[in-house]
Amino acid sequence: MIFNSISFGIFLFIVFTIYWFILKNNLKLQNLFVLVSSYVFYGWWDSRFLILIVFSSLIDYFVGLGLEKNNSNKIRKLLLFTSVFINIGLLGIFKYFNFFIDNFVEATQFFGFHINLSTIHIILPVGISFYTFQTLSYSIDVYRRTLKPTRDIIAFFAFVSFFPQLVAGPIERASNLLPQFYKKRKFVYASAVDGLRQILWGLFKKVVIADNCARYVNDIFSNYTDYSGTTLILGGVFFAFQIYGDFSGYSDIAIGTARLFGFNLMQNFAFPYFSRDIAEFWRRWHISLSTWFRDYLYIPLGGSRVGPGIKIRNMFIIFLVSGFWHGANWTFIVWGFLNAIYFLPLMLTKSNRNNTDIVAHGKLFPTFKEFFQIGVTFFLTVFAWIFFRAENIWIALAYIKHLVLNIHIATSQPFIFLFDKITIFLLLLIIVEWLQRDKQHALDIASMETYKKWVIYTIIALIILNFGITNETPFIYFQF
Amino acid sequence: MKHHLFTFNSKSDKKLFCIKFLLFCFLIIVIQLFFSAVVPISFKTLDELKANLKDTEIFLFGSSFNHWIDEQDKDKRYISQIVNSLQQKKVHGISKAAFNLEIFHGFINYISKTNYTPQLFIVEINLRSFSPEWEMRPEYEYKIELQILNNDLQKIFYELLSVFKDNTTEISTETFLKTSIYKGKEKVGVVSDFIFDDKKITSERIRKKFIFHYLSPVEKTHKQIIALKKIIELSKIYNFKILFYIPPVDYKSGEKQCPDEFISITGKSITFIKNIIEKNNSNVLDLSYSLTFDYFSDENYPYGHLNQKGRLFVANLISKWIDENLIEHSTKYHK
Repeated sequence: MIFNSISFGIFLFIVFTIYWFILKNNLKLQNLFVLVSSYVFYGWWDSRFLILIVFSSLIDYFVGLGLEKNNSNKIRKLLLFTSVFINIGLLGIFKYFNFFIDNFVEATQFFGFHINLSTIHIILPVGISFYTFQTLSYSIDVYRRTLKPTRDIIAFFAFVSFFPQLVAGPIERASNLLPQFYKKRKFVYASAVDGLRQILWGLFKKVVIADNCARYVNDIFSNYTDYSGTTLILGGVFFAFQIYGDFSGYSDIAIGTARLFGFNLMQNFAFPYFSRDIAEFWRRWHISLSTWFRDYLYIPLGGSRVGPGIKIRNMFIIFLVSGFWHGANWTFIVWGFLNAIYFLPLMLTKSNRNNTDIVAHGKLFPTFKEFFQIGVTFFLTVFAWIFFRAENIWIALAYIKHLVLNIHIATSQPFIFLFDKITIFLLLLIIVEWLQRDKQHALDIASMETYKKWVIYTIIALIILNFGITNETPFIYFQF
Repeated sequence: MKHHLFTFNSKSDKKLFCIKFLLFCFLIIVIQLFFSAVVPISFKTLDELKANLKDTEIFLFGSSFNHWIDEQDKDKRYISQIVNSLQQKKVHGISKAAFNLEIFHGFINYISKTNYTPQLFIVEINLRSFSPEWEMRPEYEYKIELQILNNDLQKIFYELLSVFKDNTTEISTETFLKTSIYKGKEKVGVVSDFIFDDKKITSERIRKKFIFHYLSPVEKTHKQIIALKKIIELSKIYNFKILFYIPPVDYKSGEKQCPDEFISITGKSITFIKNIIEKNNSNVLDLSYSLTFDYFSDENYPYGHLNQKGRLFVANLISKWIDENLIEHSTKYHK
């Protein structure tokens, strides 16, 4: 079930009605109902893989209890290792198995050996990278004694499978989400309305921005040899907005939906394309994943309180692993590597925390310097996105080569793409997000006069209905 | 009690929230339906038709068969464009991948509602359109296009629902893949057995493709046959002149792959189709067994697409038919 479907609309309406009007203030029943609804939501896609979620949840539930009961360091380590091994093992089998086999065979062939290992057809269960990381965070936090394990199995299972964020995040920390299942939830009108606003903006980003951009991106990337260098740059720019609209749109809908049920999820995107350097970009892009890696990988490796060499090594590990997390393809690893390269000068000059505030805060326009910094950062990310989008490294390199060699050709080609409604919608996106960049989401307009808000809702809803693209692929991040 | 619209804290909050949300949905639906009813919805090929309606004397409706160009072809003209160049009259082609008799009926029906009558409609009857390959493929369903052309009431809900992906197709990919495939009357598998993920070409796969594309049974209850009859009916009501034509099939390769079956089964289908047309005194140009493989585009599978030599051959025959049969008809306005 995807968010931009009638079936999800009906599902949400039914769940909302039962949750608030029938189960009312019965916390246990509400939690049980959230769990059942989440399994229905996931099972709609493929019920066979529910068993993986149940299995992963069971393991971490009992690991948590085991960690509480045992004080022996050895046993505790063993329990944590069990959780890590099983969760990463699931990822390894379902996501990376064929990648490793293929690369192993290619590597042996390179050295003159011919091993005949055939790959098997494995379906990637939707959202596996998200919920395995979520359950892992629970076990690690309990191991570190920063979180008390839960005995409430329903609450824990509901936390792992909470449907708004089950298949594409935000990757919630147990310390934030799990306690919300223990407390009685109250319907807060203002919060629910704001949730709806966030859903509306999320839908705009997905079906208007991302899916419209996708048409051009697919065309340009599939036929890159037919296009001029400038059009290929435009292809990269469109993809930057496609992936932003797609993924942050999903996150907005997820966060907004959770708010309808009285839950607060973490902010996952904080207007990343207004970043002045790559370090700021990574503090604003897929926040739940980058902070996950920071807390559970970077800091355990020593973080920044180590020598410069180790620090650089740690930084590269984080970016490479982050790239690999996105998919079993070298393109993602190169994408991670490129970001590490971008980050390196900031780290060496200790300027990676120069831009922690909101750009041009309180001002309508940025300074020329800020504008320049935003532009440079944006184009660095666009360059890296080319690898992220390409089917393989060789295509990415060929795309870039064609771009560079044909950049000089004067052509009106890019204007064919720019003289289209998508340009207006992109401008609308940029303007609205710029004006709202100090807020939690772009449609955080609670303080505005009522009639103005209704006009805005109506306009956005009509744009979605009339200019949203149909027949496009589901959210990109489902595949991760 | 003073209620500010969005800072409400009583027990009725939930109800108020639901009422306002439903009110908002209702408002959006009303505005959307109003716009959908007032602003005409269209699609690319219909826009092309509208733009050319007034000065076109002959419309040629086809599938990708009309506009397929082989990479090696120097002459990149579509069949309709070649016919246009051979004729004094203006010929305009309307074609898209897997366009079939149902959608051609929609176009002719649409034109019948205008006050303009072209001199001739040339309508392709592709044997592949009887296969589930076209019939059941979700992206070839053209549901909204048919709703627009036939002016169905549902069309006003199109924009409202299409964004949620629930209105564009009725057939799911799963249904498509599970659809039975027949060789004449014998069931030989399901669609998923006849489509392949990789690009490997084997003799067995080519044989399967010939079965998949051409050997489905053609019966009177088939959607395409019903559409054919509807077109003939329309032509009688509005006095339209119509030429149906059956595109060439690479029958020699087909027979080689499916000996004693290919020509026998396709022959029955062609006879069945021609009987319907001829019984109704309409015109049919049967080109099905007129070309050998060297007139077909060099593709791996039998799609029936032609190379420039093949397109020229077909265009010449169509043009010749027009010269011989279109004397007294003239473009006219009808009430």
